[in-house]
Amino acid sequence: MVLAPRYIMKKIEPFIVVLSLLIIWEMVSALNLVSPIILPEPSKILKSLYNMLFTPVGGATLIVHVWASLEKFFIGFLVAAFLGSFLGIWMGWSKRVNSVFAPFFEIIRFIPPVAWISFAILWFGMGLAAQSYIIGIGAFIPALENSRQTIKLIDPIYIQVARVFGASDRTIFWKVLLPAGLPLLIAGVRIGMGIGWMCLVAAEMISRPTLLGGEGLGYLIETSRMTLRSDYIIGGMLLIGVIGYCLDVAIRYLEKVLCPWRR
Amino acid sequence: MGAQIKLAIENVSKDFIRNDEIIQAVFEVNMNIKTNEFIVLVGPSGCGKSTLLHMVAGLIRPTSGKILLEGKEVVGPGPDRSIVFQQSALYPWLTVSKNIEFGLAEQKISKNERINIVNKYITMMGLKGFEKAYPHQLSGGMQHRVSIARSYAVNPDVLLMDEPFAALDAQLRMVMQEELIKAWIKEKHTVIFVTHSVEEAIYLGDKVVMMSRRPGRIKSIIDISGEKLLSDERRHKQVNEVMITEEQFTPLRAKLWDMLREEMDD
Repeated sequence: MVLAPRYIMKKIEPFIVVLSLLIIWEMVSALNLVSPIILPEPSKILKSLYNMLFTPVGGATLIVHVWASLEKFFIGFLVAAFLGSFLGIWMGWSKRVNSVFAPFFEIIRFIPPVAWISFAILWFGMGLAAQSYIIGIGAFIPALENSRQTIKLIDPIYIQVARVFGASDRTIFWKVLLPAGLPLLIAGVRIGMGIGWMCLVAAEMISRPTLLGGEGLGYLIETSRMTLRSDYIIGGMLLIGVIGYCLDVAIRYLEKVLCPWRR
Repeated sequence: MGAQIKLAIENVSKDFIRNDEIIQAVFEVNMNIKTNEFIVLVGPSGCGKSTLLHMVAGLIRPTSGKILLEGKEVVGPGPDRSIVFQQSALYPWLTVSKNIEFGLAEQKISKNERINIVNKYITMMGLKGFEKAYPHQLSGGMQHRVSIARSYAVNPDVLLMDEPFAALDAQLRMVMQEELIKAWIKEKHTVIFVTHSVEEAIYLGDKVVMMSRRPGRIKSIIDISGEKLLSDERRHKQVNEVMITEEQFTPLRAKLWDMLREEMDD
């Protein structure tokens, strides 16, 4: 068998698995080996995604769904990232604060965000706030945990040096601990972002459980489940994956900008 | 003209507790260090020489005894005593200039003057052109020079150096030793330098303080300034003139090495 030259192979290799799967998948569906409800073919999914841009599904077009998801995500995530990092740094800085809050979080962290759904509805009603809350819970714990460890992991010599030069606690916090911990802090926020985004579907399952109205990718998937539109479901799943990836790329870029000393 | 006592170490001991066991790191050390003297502490590993240095820096407190800087007891770190650690301990998020400026920012010095001081040490340490570089972009030797420049910049009365060249290769070490002597001739510093190298001790020091193995105490103080030139005279000379001659060096090294070996044998 004649293979393409090496350098071309190297460029193609990363796509081989994905491409082969797509081709097999397309063929399986095109030959009607499985019902399109169980597995619609990729080309159909792409077409459906395109159609959803103009045809409302579950009361809204695709752009509206995407925007709605991003909105509740950003509200929940930003609040959680800020509070989590802040509290985490405080707990890492002060043993006393840590001993007060640690037992609480040691238990909270093992409760999956989905388990909060009932209380989110009870506390906030079935709206944006409840959904953002679920996403926030997912993002909060990693941000807290990482920032708490961050402060503890900082090489004590950095603090010694600052002390030798007569720096106050305040200077040490702002000019040494914070920049020293920033990369790890961002890493925690990044993990939290991934988990928070993954909580989206769960969070949106509690939008209005009717076929009329409701916005967001998770809602799109839910409502398509009830109408047996597998193509919409997979399309929604795909978009969640792609947007999640884009968010991750964005935060990695942010890290590069904020921490120029890291290669 | 009797030189003043800069630093007095009076009956200083330090115990650590490790695994419920008391370890005597330093035991009843007494030493007087004159202004602008270059003291080198030598001893077997684990003899407490770094501990002693950290106590002078004020990073740890003695278990008993006192350290007096110009008659005042040392109770904590301060910019009058600057320490160069074994690692360069630079802040990776600051550029070379900003690292050197870090200690100055704590003092009441105008921005302009700070820039002047930083530039002066950048030139002295041969770091020109690297002002905006981050530490990870520099070689190990250059990182050390930045670290030393950072300590010089605050113009400390006492410069404490904890095996600052231990991590460097032999060539670079020689260069750094020369740089150190050059800077010491130009600036007025009292220096306490910790090393485990006998050669380094002879090359750099006015006095070599030999410490015993744990619990670290002073075994003897060897004044070698007479073999070279007195501190004050050395200050007016060029580097190559203060270098000790081969004839003086060999017997001194033999003597010190014998003393050190006694401490290393069981």
